[in-house]
Amino acid sequence: MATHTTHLTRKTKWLIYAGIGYLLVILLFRFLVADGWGKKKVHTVPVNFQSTVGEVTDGVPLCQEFIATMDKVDAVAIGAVLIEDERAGTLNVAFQKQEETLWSTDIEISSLTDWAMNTISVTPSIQLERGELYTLRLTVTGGRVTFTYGTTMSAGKYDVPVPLDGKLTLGDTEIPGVLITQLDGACVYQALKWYWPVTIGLGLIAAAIACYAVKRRNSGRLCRLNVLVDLVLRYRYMLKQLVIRDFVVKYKASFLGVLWSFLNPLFTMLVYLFVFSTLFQSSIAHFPVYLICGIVMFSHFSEATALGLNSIIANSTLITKIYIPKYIFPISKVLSATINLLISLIPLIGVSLINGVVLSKALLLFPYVLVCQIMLCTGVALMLATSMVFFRDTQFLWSVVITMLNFLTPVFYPADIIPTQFQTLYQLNPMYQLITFLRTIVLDGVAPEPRAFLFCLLGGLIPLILGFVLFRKYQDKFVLYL
Amino acid sequence: MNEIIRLEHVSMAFRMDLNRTTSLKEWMVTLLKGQHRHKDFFALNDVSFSVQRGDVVGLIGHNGSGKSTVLKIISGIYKPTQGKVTVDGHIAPMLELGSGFDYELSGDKNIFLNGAILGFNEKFLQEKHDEIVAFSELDDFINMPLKTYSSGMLMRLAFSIATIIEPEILIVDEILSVGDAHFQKKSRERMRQLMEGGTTVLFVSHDITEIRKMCSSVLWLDHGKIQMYGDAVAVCDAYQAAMI
Repeated sequence: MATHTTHLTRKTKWLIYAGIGYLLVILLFRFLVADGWGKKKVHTVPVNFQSTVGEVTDGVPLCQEFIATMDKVDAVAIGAVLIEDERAGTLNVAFQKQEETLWSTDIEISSLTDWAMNTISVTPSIQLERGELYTLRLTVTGGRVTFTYGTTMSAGKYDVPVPLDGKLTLGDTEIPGVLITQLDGACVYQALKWYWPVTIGLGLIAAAIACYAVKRRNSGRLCRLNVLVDLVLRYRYMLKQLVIRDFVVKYKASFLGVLWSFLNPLFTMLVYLFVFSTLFQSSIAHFPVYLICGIVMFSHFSEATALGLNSIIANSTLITKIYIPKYIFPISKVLSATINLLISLIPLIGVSLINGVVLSKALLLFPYVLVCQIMLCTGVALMLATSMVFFRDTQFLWSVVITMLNFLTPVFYPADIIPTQFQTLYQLNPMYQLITFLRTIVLDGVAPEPRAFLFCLLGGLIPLILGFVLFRKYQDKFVLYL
Repeated sequence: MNEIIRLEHVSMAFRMDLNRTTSLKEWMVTLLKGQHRHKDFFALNDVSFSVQRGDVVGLIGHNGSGKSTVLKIISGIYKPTQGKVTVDGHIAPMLELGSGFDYELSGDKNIFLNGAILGFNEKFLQEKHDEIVAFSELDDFINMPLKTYSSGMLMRLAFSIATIIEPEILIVDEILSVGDAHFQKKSRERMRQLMEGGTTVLFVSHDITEIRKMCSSVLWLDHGKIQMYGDAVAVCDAYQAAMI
């Protein structure tokens, strides 16, 4: 009876620790995402100059329709060209939604700078609704001035055509292009409003489940969760041993040993830097840091999945001799690759510091992206390992797919060189989401927008669930095919 | 009496693909041709028996009669095609000694690796570590990588790890001849200790005299079916009579 009581208090103690841990995590998380999930300053990118719209006659409005990408506009910049140094007259700048004028102001043409972006602050700032169509209207009274437009945008070394979301019209004539303007403003997210209700709600649900499990345990009628906990407790030491084994054996015969774990990403970065610096560097700030973020994440994905793919086959002697939950093999391979990933954070931080990137508290969000990455790799490894047992071609097919993915993920090029119409498809790649997330916290030093968190989570969770379902369905047959 | 192992109408079918395909291309081709044929081979056919706690059960039968399949089904390595298996206790599988070894690591590290694979926890292995090393008589070699070991040394280490606990069920597939004459004697002694200590043992051997000496009951399998199950002496007599 005495042992039973101590056991019970130990369990309760663990539950209390878990509860306190959860509270600390959600508090820290709230603090870290405050900037990214609240209001975020954004601006649109002006198109490249192609031509002027021609002289804007008195009283004929020049209208540019646009789809709002921000919630709030603080300033608008317009590329103006004066004609023959005439500086008389006024320019009226207005924002309209359909026929309703949201904001308008008159400025002296003499205050404009010729051949430059003229920033006009919008006070009080106007509220827009993202995704809705608005019109920027420019009307000249008693003066002569013209404006510039274009049809392309710089992306890397190339110019790509911009989508014509809204029409540009001068009076009744339509001009095939986009007015050169830049909007400065902010996006306001609602996610923070729901933060406490959701996190506390989830915590309470978890606590309820834990209490139920403890009750079932004490009554002796075990539920599924109890069995799962037992399994994890029973096999965690085996998992630990397998992970350590992989890691120790990997570098055992090499002279530099663990040093390779951070020399590898550095060398890859140097090669890419050498090859691509002239091609993309101009458009990407801190190109070496941009590169190493992509390389570290992608090589982890490729290493973890390649090891996971072989994990069942490689342990066939064990699987046919001893009963072991077979999940343990792909999982242990993913985890030992993850040790490598953690070590390669050292060169990542080193390169960032050398490049003058200011590391901020946002970097503490790394565990989030790491967990998503592990989920993704585990899911893919489970699927590949299953497939590999039945079709040995999987390994060759996967090496082709990995090469393809290396090009389909923005590891060494800027994501915006992909044409707009393919962007949605392109961004379905979970590695795109994870690498972009890492770059935001390292390079921009801010928390990504709420959407990015969701996409990373889904990018990890969906493959993980699919992987488990597939593996579970076929694992009893493995032993017959090994 | 309480039952520790129970098999009810257990059948185990292995698929014998007439055109065994392991490549995706072949699989597609045979699927399209409609030639995806296979024949089921029943290694076990409707086998039912139960083992009482503390029994020492010998399994006999000619090669391919299904002895190893029975052991693998009880260990959980195979999932039976039909029927139900109930096992109530911790199993120490000794189907193949040392299958979890890593030859790059030292004997010492392998005690923990192999021990972990056999399902022992860290604390237990640390406690028993010295005992394992002493029993294996490897002395200073314990710190050498396994790839430098002779096969006798490997087997000694594997046996020492596998038998360190007193499991509830011990499954032995002809492993009694381990190492030199001295160690063989020692290992036999250890096995006898385990059996007398109340462990349930399932044990395959072709040596009928050994079976007679060690087992309380015997299961005689023939072509995946139970030929006879019961008292060791009676079954062994019948088996030997049938062999002549």
